[in-house]
Amino acid sequence: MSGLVAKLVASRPSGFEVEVEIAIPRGTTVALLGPNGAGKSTLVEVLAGLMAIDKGNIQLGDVVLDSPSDDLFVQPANRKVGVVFQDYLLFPHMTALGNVSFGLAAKTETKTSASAMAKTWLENLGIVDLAGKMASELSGGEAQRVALARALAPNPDLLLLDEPMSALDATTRVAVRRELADALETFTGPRLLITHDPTEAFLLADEIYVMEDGLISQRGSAEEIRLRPRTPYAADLAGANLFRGIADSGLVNLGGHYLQAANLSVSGDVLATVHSRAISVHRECPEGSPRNVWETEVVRIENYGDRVRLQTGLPLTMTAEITPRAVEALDLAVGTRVWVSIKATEVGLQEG
Amino acid sequence: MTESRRRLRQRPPIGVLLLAMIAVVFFLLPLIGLLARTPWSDLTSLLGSEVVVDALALSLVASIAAVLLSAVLGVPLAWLLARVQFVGRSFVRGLVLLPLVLPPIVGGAALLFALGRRGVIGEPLYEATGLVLPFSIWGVIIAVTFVSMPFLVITVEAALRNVDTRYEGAAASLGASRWTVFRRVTLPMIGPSLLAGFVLTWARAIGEFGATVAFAGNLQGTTQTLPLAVFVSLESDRDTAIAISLVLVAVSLTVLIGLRDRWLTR
Repeated sequence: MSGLVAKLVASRPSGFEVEVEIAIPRGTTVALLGPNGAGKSTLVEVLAGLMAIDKGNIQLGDVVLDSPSDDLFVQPANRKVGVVFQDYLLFPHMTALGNVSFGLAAKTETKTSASAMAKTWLENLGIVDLAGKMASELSGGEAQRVALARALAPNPDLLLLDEPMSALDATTRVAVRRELADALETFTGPRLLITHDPTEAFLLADEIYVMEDGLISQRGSAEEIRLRPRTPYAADLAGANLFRGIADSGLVNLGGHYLQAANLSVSGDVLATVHSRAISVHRECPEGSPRNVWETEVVRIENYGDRVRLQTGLPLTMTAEITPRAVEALDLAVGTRVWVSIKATEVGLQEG
Repeated sequence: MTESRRRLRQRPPIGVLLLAMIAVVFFLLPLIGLLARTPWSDLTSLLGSEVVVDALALSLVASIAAVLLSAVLGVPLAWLLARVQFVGRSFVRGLVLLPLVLPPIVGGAALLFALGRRGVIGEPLYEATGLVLPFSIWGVIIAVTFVSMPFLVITVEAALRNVDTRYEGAAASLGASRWTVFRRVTLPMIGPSLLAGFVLTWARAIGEFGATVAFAGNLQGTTQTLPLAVFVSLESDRDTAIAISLVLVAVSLTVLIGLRDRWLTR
């Protein structure tokens, strides 16, 4: 199979162990989603060759990168792996252009042609005006773009993005995320996005691997993880119900079903989020302030001990989190007709 | 109201100011003493004397050679100490620091026992090649390097420890060889410290006295550096001693101030 295939055990000097099996076909984005300390960056290091694995093997296309049993290890400089590092790690003493041409200079003939090619990359990403700026003077969003250009310029066979947006403020993140989505599209090899932000994973990835304590606890599409989280952590990640829609003065059209949001300033293509804890469930049609009320039925009930996740059916599939006592009091079972209500202030909107 | 408060905060505490002033005066006094006793009218003829010219040339050559030798040998040693875990690392680090703690004259004597014509290594070396290190310019360079290289090793090692090694990993992942990583990423990132290390090494080298006099002797024109020339003329010809001291002060200040403005405060 072409793409990345890895099955490995790797351990830190501290004794922390990572055991992962991962396969990324060409042209697909996999998101590795997990909390801090789950071992996500360790995986980046082994794939980039900055750390050797203890067991298993890593294969990229036809090339075996690391296989302890065959005594095989390809040095990082000889791997065709492009990395956008956490905090970007742009060389502070070089210009943006210098950073992008660094990887080209290591591979190509002359310094001038490396420079020219780097400039083309900056042009492609629309940041050629940053070429002469010192890396240490770039803003977060600019640095992210330059880091992406630097990773892509040597024409790698695998692209790793380690928390590419965690260093950005919320406003920049939305713009950069859209650009990143475009950039990912143009890269034809396998792509691995490391993140702890479920929104990022849900939006950018074709498949999601959830990583906890060095192990993959669940893998599947965004939809699968959202609707059937297998661990409490995954359930927390999936907490936000996420919809794409079109907003107009606070009214969001989600393919025929409408949600009223309190935020009137965002319009056009939007991403609407409703946290599962913000949804109330009733047996009778509720009266009161919530602007969004509709009747539906319970499709699934999952018990997590101190809380229960209910999945409700059409017209808008949502996951609500309530207490086991509420389930008992309302006498809920699969198929029960219920009313759900959401306050307009609980509908989060951002440009999508 | 806000303006006066701002001004208040900017004024340093009076106690700190007082103690700092005393420190400045303490550094300034010897300089004033030197300048007050300087025979300004005879200065040019004193400085033109053979003793002074020889000593100045030798001091410059020896101190620059010490810096170059320290760079060639000391930077790799610093890298090893900072980056590689090996058995006996703390012993090696202690060994490097020894010349800093040891009285220089003891260091010079030890060099003589090792590299002198009758020394443990010096004797077979002489028999094999006819080379005699002590009491030659090579002896001066060796003595001066022995005493001054620790400054470079310590400074560079500390700087290397402070470099985020993830940058080196990033460079490697971009296809750079280890040497390219070191040359284009590590070295520039420790640049200011490296330069500070060179300055400290050079400063220690130009002022070296004890190890030189013990190992290389005090032969005018061959091994008599500026500090040695000062010591000799302090007994016989005080005006020459003052003139040479003035040269040392001028050369040192020029280098320190020049470097500080251009590099150290960047």
